[in-house]
Amino acid sequence: MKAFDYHRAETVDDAVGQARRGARYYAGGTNLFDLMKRGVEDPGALVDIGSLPLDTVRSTDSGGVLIGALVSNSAVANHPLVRTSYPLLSQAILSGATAQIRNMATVGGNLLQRTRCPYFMDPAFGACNKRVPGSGCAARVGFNREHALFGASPHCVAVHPSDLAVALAAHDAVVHLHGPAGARALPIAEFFALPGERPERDTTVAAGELITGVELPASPYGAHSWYLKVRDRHSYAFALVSVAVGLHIDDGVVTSAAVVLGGVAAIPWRVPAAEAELVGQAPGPHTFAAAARAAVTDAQPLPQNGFKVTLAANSVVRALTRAAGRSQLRS
Amino acid sequence: MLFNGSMTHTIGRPVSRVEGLAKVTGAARYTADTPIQGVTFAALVQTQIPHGRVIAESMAAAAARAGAAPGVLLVLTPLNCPALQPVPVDMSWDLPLERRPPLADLTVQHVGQHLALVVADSPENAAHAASLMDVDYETGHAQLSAAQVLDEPVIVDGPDGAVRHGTYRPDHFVKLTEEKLQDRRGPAEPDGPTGTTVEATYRTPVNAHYPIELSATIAQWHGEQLVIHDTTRWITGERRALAGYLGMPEDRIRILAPLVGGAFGSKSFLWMHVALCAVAARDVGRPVKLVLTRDQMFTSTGHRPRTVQTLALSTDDTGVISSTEHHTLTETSTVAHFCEPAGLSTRFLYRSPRLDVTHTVARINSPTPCFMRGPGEAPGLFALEVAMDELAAATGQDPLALRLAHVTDRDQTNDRPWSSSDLAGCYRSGARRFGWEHRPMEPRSLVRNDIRVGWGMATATYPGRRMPAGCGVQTGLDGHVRFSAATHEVGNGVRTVMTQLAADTANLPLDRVSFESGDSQFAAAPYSGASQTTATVGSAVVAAAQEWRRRLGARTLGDRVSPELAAELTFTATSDGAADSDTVSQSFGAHFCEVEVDEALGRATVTRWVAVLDCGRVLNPKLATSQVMGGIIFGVGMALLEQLVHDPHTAQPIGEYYLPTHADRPDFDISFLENPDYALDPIGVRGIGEIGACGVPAAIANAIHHATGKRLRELPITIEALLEPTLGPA
Amino acid sequence: MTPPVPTRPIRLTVNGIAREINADVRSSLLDLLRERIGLTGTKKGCDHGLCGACTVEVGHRRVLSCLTLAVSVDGADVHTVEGFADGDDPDPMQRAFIDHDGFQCGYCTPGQLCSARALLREFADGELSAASFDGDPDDVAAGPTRLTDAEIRERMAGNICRCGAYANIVAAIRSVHEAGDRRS
Repeated sequence: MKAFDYHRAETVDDAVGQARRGARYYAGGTNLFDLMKRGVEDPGALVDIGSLPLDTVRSTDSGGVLIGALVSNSAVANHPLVRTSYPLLSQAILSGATAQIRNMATVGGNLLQRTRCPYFMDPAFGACNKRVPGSGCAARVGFNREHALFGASPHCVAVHPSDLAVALAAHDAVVHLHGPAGARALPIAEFFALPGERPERDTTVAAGELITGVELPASPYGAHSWYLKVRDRHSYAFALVSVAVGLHIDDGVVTSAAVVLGGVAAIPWRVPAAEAELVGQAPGPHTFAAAARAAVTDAQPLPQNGFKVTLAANSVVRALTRAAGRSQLRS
Repeated sequence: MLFNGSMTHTIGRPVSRVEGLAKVTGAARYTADTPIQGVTFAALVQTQIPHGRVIAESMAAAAARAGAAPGVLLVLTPLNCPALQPVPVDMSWDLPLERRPPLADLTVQHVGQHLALVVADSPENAAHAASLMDVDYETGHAQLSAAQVLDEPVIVDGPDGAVRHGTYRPDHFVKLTEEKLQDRRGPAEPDGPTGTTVEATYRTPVNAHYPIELSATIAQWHGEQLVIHDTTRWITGERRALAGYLGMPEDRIRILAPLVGGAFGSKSFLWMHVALCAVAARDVGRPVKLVLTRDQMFTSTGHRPRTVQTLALSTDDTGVISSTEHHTLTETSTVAHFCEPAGLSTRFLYRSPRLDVTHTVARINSPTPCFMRGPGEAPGLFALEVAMDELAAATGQDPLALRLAHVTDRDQTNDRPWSSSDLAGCYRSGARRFGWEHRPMEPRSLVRNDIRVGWGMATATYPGRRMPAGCGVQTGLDGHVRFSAATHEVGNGVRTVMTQLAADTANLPLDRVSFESGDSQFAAAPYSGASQTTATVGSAVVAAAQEWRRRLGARTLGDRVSPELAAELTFTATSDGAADSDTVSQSFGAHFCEVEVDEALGRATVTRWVAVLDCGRVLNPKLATSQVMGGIIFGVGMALLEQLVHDPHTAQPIGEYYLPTHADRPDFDISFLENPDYALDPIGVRGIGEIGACGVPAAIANAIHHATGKRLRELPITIEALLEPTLGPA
Repeated sequence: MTPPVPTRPIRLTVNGIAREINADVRSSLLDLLRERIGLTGTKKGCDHGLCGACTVEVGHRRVLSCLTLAVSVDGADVHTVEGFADGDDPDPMQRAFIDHDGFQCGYCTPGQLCSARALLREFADGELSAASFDGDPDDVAAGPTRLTDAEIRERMAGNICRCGAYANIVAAIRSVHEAGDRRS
């Protein structure tokens, strides 16, 4: 790692100003510092935003919640507002990483973390279009067991590793940004970018923009939500497949639903077709199976990840079952 | 015979580790913790292709770039490194020491070969300079698997004999001539009335030791004396190897390793980076400290190589085994010998009149492998114990009954009886503790909360070994008695157990006695491996303590000891290796486990484990139980999680190597049948360090078969192998 | 040779002692503790956040020091294993680890101890883990009422032990927890 300039920002405008001059935002560092050690990221300057006043969680006037970008993952997961009104969010965060990392990592940093694709993470592998545009995609012809089922392009098959993002997608969250051109609010569905022709771009965040917070509307799901994460060991591993589901059940009928898959695309993969199978139906195995089939209909497996199609479908059923509260099954 | 009904005050008791307070307060010093005045920091650079040659101009340019970086004191490459000698042939002949010294030339034999050592004034500067050293290569044709070697025309070896290709069939395992890797008995072809044959191929992947402590070395010169701090588990061997590399007398080298943060078979034999630190320290005139990165641990400290094992068990027409064949294909590097001896246990574990065991080793462009916990036993018992389960199923027998029917009272390879063996007792006790009698024979019979449940078992076995060793005794003026040997506290509890042995044998209270390890100036001891340390070093400690008490005679030792008495009670004792014997010392055990398989998610959970072991006398049940639990968790990793994956196009290791976490282990019920075995040593012990890991992957695979009906013969057993579609048709 | 890399002065309180160090801006807190301050109790097992051996407390929360940029915690209150004991008296968790044999080689132990101590405080504060969602649904809002084995294992899952001392570590934690419950 070569030496870099390091400054703390005192205000959001100060931070944005430094970013305009080329500095990279630095908060918990759990991803950026790691990538700097690995030689994947090489910033000439860091602007440490850790002291900015973006560290609160509060209710909004519309009955939702606004979470500051610098609130730690642990603090979000354990916040009373989140635990009572957005248990899906709490559960998703707590299934990620470890207690130590959750204490360090921020909401903003979690959304901006880079893929865990091993070809991306190690510069010794020359062919990675996300890291070096135009160099090729080694995963397509190599190790791709953990890679995308949906939304891939010929240039990149990486997945986004965040659990938080999947739950935020299920809640129709909005990301608040502040940049050189001022403030804007970006629905989470527009925040992440599919690789397309520009796999080097993970998000639609513009140069110098700072995430200031994430806002969730009032949740219709209450207790009927579940985050299921399937990975190679029982903890401390990224998802092979994860599923966030939320159901609003009124008088024995699903009136609204969210089904979002993680670990299968460069973005949280919301599946309206699966949701459509649920709305207007009574929760139950037949309904859940229909939703699961719809969730994986468009899957485009790679040579080593075909198992993820079955896994995703079964995981959707399991998550819906848990969310509907019908099964005693440990998951 | 010692401690046999006589008054012992600590042997057999759960004494806490003597270095425990240091370990829990952070006071415990490991190699990289050692404060050294004026130390400089090194970083290793390694090759990124499996075969070929570094282009000399790019090596020179890379060295110049690194040399110009801030804080850099030295860049050692094949272009400027003083030539090192090969290690003595009797070390590289049958142990996994490389035949080529490091930085010998620009040719490349594997990914992760040492290419340069950068020394700088800070760890950050050293790492940065090393990161500047990309080089260009002429790539050669690489052979990356045994299958490829067997498939391709033979490559002619060069004249110097250091780099070799092709396949070979070694005669025996390391220096143990009785452990025959090519072995037969009985008729050349199976004969007699035949019953059932099961034959299958079993595969185990590359596994890494992954001790949490990264390998580290500090090299410093005092005039012509070289002092090495190293994370090593073979001080005596390392001293010899370094003397060889550096062309200097052994007695000018001192090696220190007071505590080692886990080894599991690594931290020996592959000392090339240590030699480079010594060279660098001489050049810069200051101590040089190197800590390997976690990635470098996969290519620089050995690994368990792949095996492909074909195993065939045949019965006669009464269901008794008549023939056993176990053929292993495994791999080593092009520059060192190592054979994973998977078939060794098969030679003797179950009664079988006919036997055919072979091992074929292919030399490939990979880093050099070496012993890893249960070398041979771990992958070999996976194959054998799954095959036994397959035979039980094919013949309609309970897996336990089949094994009980084939227990032997003697080693069939030499017809000598076991000195002490109660494998049948292990089976019976374990089965009872587990509740095996409630096991339905049919797979897919047990379900709990919609999750499949299976019960499996396997046999564990490991040889009792003993080598010569010494033990020094120093009596202090304060009445404290210090025993010592150049052995290694790697977490095996040797310091505690030796303290207990010394205290009880010398009839001293525990707090008057200490045992130190980890210094080449102490009495010589062999490597800490092969589960031999307690028998080996213990025998020397007992000899020393007996001599100490003999010399003390009728006197008592107070808090103030005269210099004359202290001198009289300061000496070194030695003990021999295992004597020629009419019997064979072998440890046995039985594993029983329950595994839940959630087929919808492909997830296997090992819930509970019963292990009963016959390892001779147990000197410290607290530590022995910890060793066995650790071994079982090691086996859980081997069964369900661990494989070192290589990118198919570049041969580079890829992905994260998963070990079991707190959330991945079963509940334990561990017990020992205590039958002291005095044939191996006067204490009655056999080893305990590895047997816990042996048989574990098979027990899990057999439980998974019982749960699901799926017979899985390849490790690790991952989600893909267990996942079942659960959605019916639309 | 090129000019040396500029350093920045940072202040840390480590185990109650105020320290001022001229840090390399690239240095992790782990390397700073070990190589500059000489507190070698905290260990490096991977340097990439994959093993937990480097766990320390910063601002009374457990964190990975290998992924902590030292300059970014300027002014922080840091606690390492060397500060857990009260002089020569090991704290209850350290004592429990010895009694229950919660370690073998001991290399991951400082990180395990730091996490174990933090775990009991987190539980007492009603903090959740992923395991809390498998229990009583009321636990999610109110906090789990029982520290089950499953809870302990999940909360400790970020500390890898290759020697496999897990069962005894959990036993040690449980014994301290139960002794604490009896006292309160």
